[in-house]
Amino acid sequence: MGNADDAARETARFLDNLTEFIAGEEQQLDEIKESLRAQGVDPEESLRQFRQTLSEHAPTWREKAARARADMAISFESQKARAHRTRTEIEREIRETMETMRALGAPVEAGAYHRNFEEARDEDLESLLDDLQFQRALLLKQRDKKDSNG
Amino acid sequence: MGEVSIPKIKAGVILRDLKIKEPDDISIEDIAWARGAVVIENGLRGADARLLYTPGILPAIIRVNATIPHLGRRRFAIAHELGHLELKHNPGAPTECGEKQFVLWYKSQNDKELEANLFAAELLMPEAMFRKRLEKTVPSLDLIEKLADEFQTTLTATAIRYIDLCEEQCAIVFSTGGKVVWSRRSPDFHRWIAPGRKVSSYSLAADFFEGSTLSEKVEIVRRDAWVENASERETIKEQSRAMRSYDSVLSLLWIPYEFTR
Repeated sequence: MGNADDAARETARFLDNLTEFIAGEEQQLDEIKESLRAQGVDPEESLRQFRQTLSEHAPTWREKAARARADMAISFESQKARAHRTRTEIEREIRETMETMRALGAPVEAGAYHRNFEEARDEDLESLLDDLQFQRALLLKQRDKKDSNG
Repeated sequence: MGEVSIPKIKAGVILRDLKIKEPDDISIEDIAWARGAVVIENGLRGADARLLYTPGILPAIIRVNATIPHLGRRRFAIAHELGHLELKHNPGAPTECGEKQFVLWYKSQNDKELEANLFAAELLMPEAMFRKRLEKTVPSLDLIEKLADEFQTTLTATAIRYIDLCEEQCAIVFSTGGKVVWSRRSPDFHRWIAPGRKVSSYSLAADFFEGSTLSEKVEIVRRDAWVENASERETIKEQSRAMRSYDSVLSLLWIPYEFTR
């Protein structure tokens, strides 16, 4: 208990100093270390403890994945256009979206796999269009990023 | 040992990279995300699942039919689609979206479907984890049900996995409407079970098709009730489960080594 409290206090002190360093004027690394030592803090040991604390409380891959998936679901929903379309219109839009993706330089055409396929219902085609449009948006984003990097 | 294949190796690498050691850790949506695919549970009715991907663009999108009644079937569908992505299967593009084209397009994917199934089985029921649970057990559908519950897989998928990995002379038989539809035999089960064969009245499964109560216990029946070229004196153990919504029965057959002496 005592050791854990000491470690927590030392880590907190280290973090305070680190914050001061980041927020304050620029100093040389050696000066920082010296200043910490003058305050009775071992910088190397504190850094080790800090890293350990971070790793102990770092999210697991599953937590990270769950969070990212939730964010993605929100952005995905916001992309959807919900106006009613006939089947012929949806089919035309699918073809157009794929054409645009091709024109944007998608490496190969989008492909889809089905599991236990029975029939392509209107709802299925609508979601296929949503998915294609989502991928097209990602492709556009990629291209813009490339352009801005020269 | 189970057979070594590319799908199995791929699934094994993922499990190792994500440090997955227990069935509880096999969160298929999270695994899919970690591998570059997002799972969305709506917008699909005409299939169990669909993968849409464009090479170079992440995430790929796996749609799952929200009406799938069984969690195990849902998980298998996602793992199966992830298999297509991991195995870099290229389905080609749906140039037309009409019904006929979709059906033709789908039906040409058989080899790849099999590979994706192998991948899904290994990802959801990793051989090492599964085998460990078979030590000091005797074949039964109760055991397979327990495994299905732990791995959150369907009874049928788990039974197939069991047959592939067990070291006994076992087979699993799926019968519908009073006829054998398919069977799967363990490597040591050398007897032939013919598809299309009428379910014999000497079997337990026949009780279901004859409208009687199906015993859920393991019982000894005549071997020729199930396998070809068996004599009347030879016996086999059978345990069967009714799958009422499919008008089907899943039967586990087992020839203990003492029966063959």
